[in-house]
Amino acid sequence: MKYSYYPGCAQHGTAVDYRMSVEAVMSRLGIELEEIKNWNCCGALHVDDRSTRVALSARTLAATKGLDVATPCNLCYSNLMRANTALEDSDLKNRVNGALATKYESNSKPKHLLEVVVKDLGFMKLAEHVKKPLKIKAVPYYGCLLTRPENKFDSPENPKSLDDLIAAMGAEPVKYYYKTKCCGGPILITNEDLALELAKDLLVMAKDSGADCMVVTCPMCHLQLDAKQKAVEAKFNIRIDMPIIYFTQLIGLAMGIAPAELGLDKHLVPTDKFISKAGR
Amino acid sequence: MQKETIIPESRDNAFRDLIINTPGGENIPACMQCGICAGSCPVSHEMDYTPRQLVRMIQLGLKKEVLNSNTIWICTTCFSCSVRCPRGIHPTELMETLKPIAMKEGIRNKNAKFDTVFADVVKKNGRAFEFLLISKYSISEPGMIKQAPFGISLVTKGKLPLSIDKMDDTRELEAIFKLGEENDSQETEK
Repeated sequence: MKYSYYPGCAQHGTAVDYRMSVEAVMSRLGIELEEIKNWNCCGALHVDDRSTRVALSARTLAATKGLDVATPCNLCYSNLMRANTALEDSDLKNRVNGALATKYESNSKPKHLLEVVVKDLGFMKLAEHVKKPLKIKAVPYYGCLLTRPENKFDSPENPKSLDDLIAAMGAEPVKYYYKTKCCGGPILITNEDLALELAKDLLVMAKDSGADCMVVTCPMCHLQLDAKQKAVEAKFNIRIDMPIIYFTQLIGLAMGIAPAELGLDKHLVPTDKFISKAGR
Repeated sequence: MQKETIIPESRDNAFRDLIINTPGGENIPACMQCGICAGSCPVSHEMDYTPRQLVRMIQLGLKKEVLNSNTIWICTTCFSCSVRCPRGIHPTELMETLKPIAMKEGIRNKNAKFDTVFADVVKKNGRAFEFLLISKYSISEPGMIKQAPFGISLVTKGKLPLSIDKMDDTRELEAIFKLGEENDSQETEK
């Protein structure tokens, strides 16, 4: 299984733990990720000009040599999906191609790494790699942009893929009504009060569910829920202490990979109690 | 609550038509004011006008009120409204459409400033290098100094590298970002 790989900017910074777990897990699962040379930022949610934003993703999609393009980031995934749709407009496509050295052809399919694991690899194959079923309860948190505004693999209202992945690792996915409610990540810098309020709602419900961790698929959600958790606790005078685990870290733990290799010591919310409870 | 009367002179049909003709704007006239967008929005309680109200205001051509509303900037771009609208209107995409128009009309706020800094960092380096992004934004936002301990906690964990992450070759970016300037000149010609 080979994919063109688009890591996204966060993998080189705040999501170094995600990067480590992706590298540790994917090769062992037999998923080959060929990183796009000289890749560029997708513009996230902050390049306001539409043609420019579409062109940034078109350049990525043009560099995939016909392979499907896998990305670990919800924002990147959403931008790639949206660009593919926007470029069905031939006027826009011609203008965008005028700016690109390698022209965009609509032959590459963007896939989030979660989709690669649960759909392309599949649970049967994945189960063969589980050495230590995890004895924990976990919140499946999908965030916004994995399933909205468009995706080809799960429901935007009640997605199940991450629930099923958690179960496949031997863990119990808890019932969680805020699966796809916004964490506030995109407004963290410019409207912190509101961003922390959104994060608080998610964290409190996670705590009340009795879960041992929240599982995420997006570096922005992780930054908001892990790195900013202390700020939430301080602002609302509450105790949360909820480890936020990338889905790749969860798979890694179940495969018996050492926590440090998965970057679990790089979180701001300590993960040691969680790791010992998970059965290591 | 006292109700304001909308006088015909305050309505700008050219603005309404401009928005309706943007990609995804074609269904705006079909809005039936059901409010599913406002009900789905995680942050509508902070908005001066909910997404439902904003769509109505666009139908009415209330340019000044629309472009000055904080709604455009409070939106977290979560797309909950967009996937649920029974009339195929995409309020999130509408906010994206309105942002550059508001900025061109001289609207300045934290979000507009952050977006400008973000686009500039990407244009020059090809990557959203987080340390540079935050540093540049903080220069014009003194309140960001409060975030210094948070920044340090990230650095300590190796999550905020200080050496720049950029593309090996950034030459194509100029043409890509020029697409936005072309848009501006096309609009002036009209």
